[in-house]
Amino acid sequence: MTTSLSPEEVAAAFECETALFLGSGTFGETWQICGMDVNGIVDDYAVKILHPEHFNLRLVNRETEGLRRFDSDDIVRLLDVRDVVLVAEKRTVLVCEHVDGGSVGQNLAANGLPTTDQTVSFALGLMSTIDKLHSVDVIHRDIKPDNIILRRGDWARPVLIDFGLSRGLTDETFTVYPARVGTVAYMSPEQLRGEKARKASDIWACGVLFYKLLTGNHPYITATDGLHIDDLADLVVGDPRPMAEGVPSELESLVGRMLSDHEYQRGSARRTLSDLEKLATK
Amino acid sequence: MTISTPAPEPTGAVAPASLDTILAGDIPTLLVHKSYQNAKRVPEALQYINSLYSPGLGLGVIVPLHNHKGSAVDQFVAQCRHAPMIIVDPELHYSSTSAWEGRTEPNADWAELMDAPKKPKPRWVKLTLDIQRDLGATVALSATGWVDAVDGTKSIARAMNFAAESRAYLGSGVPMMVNLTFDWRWLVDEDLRATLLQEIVESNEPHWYLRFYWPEVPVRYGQLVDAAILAGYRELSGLCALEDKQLFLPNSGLTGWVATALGATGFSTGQAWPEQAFARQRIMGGRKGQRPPPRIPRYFDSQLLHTIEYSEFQRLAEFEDHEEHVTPYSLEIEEEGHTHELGGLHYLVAVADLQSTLKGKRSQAKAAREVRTAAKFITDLRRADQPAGLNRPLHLAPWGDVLA
Repeated sequence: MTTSLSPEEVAAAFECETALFLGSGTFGETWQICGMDVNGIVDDYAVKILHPEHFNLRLVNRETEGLRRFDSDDIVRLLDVRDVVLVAEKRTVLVCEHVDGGSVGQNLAANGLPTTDQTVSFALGLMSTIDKLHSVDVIHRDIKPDNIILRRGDWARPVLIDFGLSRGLTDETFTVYPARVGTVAYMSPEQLRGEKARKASDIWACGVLFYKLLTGNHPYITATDGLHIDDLADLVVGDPRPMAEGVPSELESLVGRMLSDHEYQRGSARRTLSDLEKLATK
Repeated sequence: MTISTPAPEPTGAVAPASLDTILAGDIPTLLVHKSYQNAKRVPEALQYINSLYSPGLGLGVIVPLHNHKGSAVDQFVAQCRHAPMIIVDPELHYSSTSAWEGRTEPNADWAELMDAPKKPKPRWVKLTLDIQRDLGATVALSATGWVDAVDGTKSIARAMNFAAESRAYLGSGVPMMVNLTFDWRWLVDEDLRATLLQEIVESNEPHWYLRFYWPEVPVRYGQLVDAAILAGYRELSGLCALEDKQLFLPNSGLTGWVATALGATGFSTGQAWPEQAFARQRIMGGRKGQRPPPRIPRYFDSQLLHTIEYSEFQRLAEFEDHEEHVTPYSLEIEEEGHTHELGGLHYLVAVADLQSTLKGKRSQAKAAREVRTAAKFITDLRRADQPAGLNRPLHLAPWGDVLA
């Protein structure tokens, strides 16, 4: 997670007091901007400064229209799309609410794995969000620990960020997307094969994430460094590695289902959510 | 012989299960598929079925367009208004762009409808949906038809574009089923089946009207006996149940009943063979000018779960363990002799009875019990007394396997 920008450069671009680097991803880097005026309200905001090589504004606008349809606590609120001049270059910026609590990745690094109960609560929250997206045919396509914030650090209150942006990618740029280390670990077999990601790919990514929260490991891959994407595609087949004792077998089996080779066998978000609800009430 | 069900007089005043209940998949549903001939008394049979099995059985009718004039559809639908689910099936596998091998020329009333575009054109989609609505359909079928197995992924994606256009025209509140017709290979080939099942899981559409073109069934008025196809139906039906999708299987006869036990919501069948099975037909040879042989008097025997010769039914009914399902039409046959119309009407009522047994929980176990009972009746007979030829229910063993 590096940036070529300095906090001063970013703060100057947004005409605000302070800018804190939060992280970077495939499509851009995210900064917390303190004391910025958005629609007359001065507050802290999260801004995503998009990499110009991956985006065109028309496609971004199309996706952000979709994003604006949601107004709930589990999906980051998009407040504005604007262009700023940053180090003499015009950049497209998504201005979102700033959610305090750190990403799943940051929480894992700081506090270790959540308990099984916390994981189930997290899974319920996340699947409810995915169901919401899928029910209006929005596919996230980049679910990973850095794209989920825990509101106030609470595992039961995941907030999905950055969703839908990958839909703005052209087919051409999409084919290079799998080459990025860090995200490939959450890619479904069909994405790794270069095929179009569908809703089932989101379910797969959630399965990988839940598996990691329950075990600390990836279900198939021990290290991605140095591996060609074809090798990764070869690794993510068949049943995942068995989980350690202590994980309820029904939960293990549900996560296993989300990691099925056949996309349809992973089930829909609604079915996964319903199964999780049954599991949580046992 | 034992008489299992008395034939009560229709009360006429029973409220049928509502369309919402049927669409929610809360009860098993029987859709009566109108045959070209002998359909005059179907509305009366529907009323009788309603009086006996509602509200535990969902009830509907399907009127296929291909061989019906618009006026005939109008007339029939008007008489079936008491059925909550009315489907006017455009049968787009007959359309000009369809690769279905069984295509024939439709009734001239539907020339414009059958002139289907290769890509969804709003005007044609609107026409297809408006025709259904204007003819009295209470549930629309999407403007989709044959999904070719060649390059299945692209074929189904194309079809789903038409379904999306149909939904866009109707809006979200109007009941619509995704209407697709496939070759049976889609149920058997692992890749094709996975493609279809994935489409169902991915789609937000809750209602699916899926028809499969079977290989030739060994005996007309018999049942599908291919274990691989039945296994495909099992996976399809089971997945739909898990995903809370309502699956309707038109023209599937009692295979549809088995599928309902495995998770489908309902099926359609009709008095005549083409409505009971969307299957490849044996080409029957005959010399020019030669009169066709007389039709076999057939009768659905609920004990065997099989349509047999009426004379064979009379013979089997003499056995002590034979349980006869009595309907107003079986009584008429007894009094006035067998006719194809009465045989067909008896079949519809008997099938409604069978379908209604699946209401509530454990439908698979209930169906398996019916099949076991049928099989036991036969095995308990002396070999010489067991039905043979077209009267032999070859389907009971594969049904038993698929329901196990």
